[in-house]
Amino acid sequence: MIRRSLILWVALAAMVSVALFVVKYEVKTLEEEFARLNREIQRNRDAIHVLRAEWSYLNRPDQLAEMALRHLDLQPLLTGQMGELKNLPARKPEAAPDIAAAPDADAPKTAAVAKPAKPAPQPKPAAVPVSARPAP
Amino acid sequence: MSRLRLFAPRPEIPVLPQPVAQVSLEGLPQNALETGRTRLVVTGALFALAFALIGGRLVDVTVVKRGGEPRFAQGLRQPPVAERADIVDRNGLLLATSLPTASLYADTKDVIDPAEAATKLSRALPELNEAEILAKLKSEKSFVWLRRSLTPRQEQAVNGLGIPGLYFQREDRRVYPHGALVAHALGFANIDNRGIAGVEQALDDVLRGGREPIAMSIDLRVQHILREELQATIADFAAIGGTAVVLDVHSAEIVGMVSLPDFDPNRPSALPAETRFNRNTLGVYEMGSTFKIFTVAMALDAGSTTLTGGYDATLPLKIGRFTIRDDHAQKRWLTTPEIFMHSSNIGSARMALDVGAAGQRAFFGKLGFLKPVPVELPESGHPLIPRPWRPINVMTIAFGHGMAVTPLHLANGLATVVNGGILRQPTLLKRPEPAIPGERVISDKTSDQMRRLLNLVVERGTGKKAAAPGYVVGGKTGTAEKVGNGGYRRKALLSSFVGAFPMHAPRYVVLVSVDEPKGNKKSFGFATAGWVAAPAVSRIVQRIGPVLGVTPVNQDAPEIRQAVATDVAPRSGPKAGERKLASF
Repeated sequence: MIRRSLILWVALAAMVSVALFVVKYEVKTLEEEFARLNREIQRNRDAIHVLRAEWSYLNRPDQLAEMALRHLDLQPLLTGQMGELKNLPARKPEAAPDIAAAPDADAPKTAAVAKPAKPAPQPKPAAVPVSARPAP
Repeated sequence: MSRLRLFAPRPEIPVLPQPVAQVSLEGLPQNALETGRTRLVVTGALFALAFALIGGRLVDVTVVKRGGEPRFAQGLRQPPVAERADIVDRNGLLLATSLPTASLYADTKDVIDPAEAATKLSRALPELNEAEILAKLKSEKSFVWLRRSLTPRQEQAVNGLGIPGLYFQREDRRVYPHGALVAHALGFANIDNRGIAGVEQALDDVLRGGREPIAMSIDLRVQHILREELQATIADFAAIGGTAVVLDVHSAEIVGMVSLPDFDPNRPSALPAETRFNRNTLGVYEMGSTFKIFTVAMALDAGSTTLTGGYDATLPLKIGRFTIRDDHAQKRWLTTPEIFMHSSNIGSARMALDVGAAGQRAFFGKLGFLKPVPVELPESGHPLIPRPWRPINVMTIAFGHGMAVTPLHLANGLATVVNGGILRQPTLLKRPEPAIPGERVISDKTSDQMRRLLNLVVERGTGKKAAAPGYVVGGKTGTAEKVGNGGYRRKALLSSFVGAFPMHAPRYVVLVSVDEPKGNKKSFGFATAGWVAAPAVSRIVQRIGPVLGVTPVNQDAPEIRQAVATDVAPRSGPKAGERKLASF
């Protein structure tokens, strides 16, 4: 009886040591991976740090102003070009009934399909024509 | 059963019959056996206790405290401590940072062909002198600096050359990506990464230990606009320098601060030392007529005059050997708004006399004009104030002579006058909470009256050119003659305009001050504030308004007129004024 339990214990001990061995090496690999990742993070952090400085350098306002002048067709904002939403004129009253009037004219058969033949003409948005911009 | 015999058979221990043992174990042998058993029990108990402890601890560590991961596994959660924290502007744009740079050195014993190395190096780094490098490489030293602080690109170029014997040394270097733009406010750090000017010096301890970037109150866009417009003005009028400040009226944050000429903090010693002089906080100047803002505010607040009251400005005022004249002489009795809008020296001198020396001194004390501005800069100029404070000083200070303050004093003073009368401590750091307590200097009512008067100067007085459509600018011109060789120099002027916008609900103070401008064709030869500084303020306001989110308004709208309009014409007539004069 004693010998049988002895064999059991020896087998258990062997299994545990094998498991320990396996786990130990697994941990070692993980540790190496971990250290490698940490180094990589550090490298990336350094790179981000340098790139942030470079980004800031490339975003010097005078540089941006010069490039905007060279490459963009934009003008400084003038006071008169700013407005508030509440100052917009109300929508023209004839724009809305246009859609409602369409089925009437087309007789009930199109109205049953409930699909307007084509979108009613809308007033164009009041865009400032390019030529109307202030000269540089 | 056949038994697996792993071990040698145990020797058979004969079992002694009890009675025999009882009989034989007596006396000494029994004592020895008892002692041995006791020892066994004690040792066994100790071991059992130890195993129990270990077992308990094992359960504690593995089962109970499962959350506690070893610190090692957490890895690089925190960035490594940099030598100095970054500085950013109020929107988080990087103003100053410490970059790891590589410094190039050579171990000349490892250099195989010095001549070829020198040629290649001078091609890769054009700023190096080939002959000098050759001399260094031939010096037979095992360590010789070739170039400090290379950029990553330069480092790569040198690495690409593949010259043996060249090595890099890692060094932290303070870098200011925006160069001269924020030079004076930022200051700079020396090669040992110690701040030796500006915020870099004032906050050196915080920066050195810190990890979190420090946010300044400066807005880079506003700063750029200020610098550009000030540069243009200085070039236009062939001036020797100038300053410009934008100050938040309510939080007293300095949103922009430029002093020209300036320097590149990346190379602080490349330009003469005077470029490092911060005119905004270190320079003290007699600011001229802009001081009339405080004279009028003081008199209105003290109740010694009212908006309908006034003083006689017909004749120059003679005090001892001094004569006080008006530059824009009207030669008649003037109301308070007229005195202010025509910038009458005589009128304001009389106004100040009515308040008296003690009252004036106390008022400037409350405004903080008698001590340096408490701002986060080591460069803080002490105002020059008269001792003793005599009546002649009262009169000259009324129109800004005989007392010298920094431009920042002036800007903060105006902020106090227009924001409802509360003095707050100006700062170069972004305030996390814009609403900060302050000290009341003038009443709300006086502040409202002053806003109207300041607007009047721009609408109808000496500061017409400061008007910016939609932004309701109000302010005051000031043309001061600079002191030199035992008197005032008529040709050497300091032309300033200090204003605020929008005047119906002020948000920002703008100050422009130009040192020794010379009149040009456009200004018909004038170099006074109304021609030099006022137009610059107008341009600055129009450009920074949209940046700072100030909505332009219709200046003729009734609610705006109601907030800023004022009556100029005397209601009670000159007679009332003459009665007032009798007290003088």
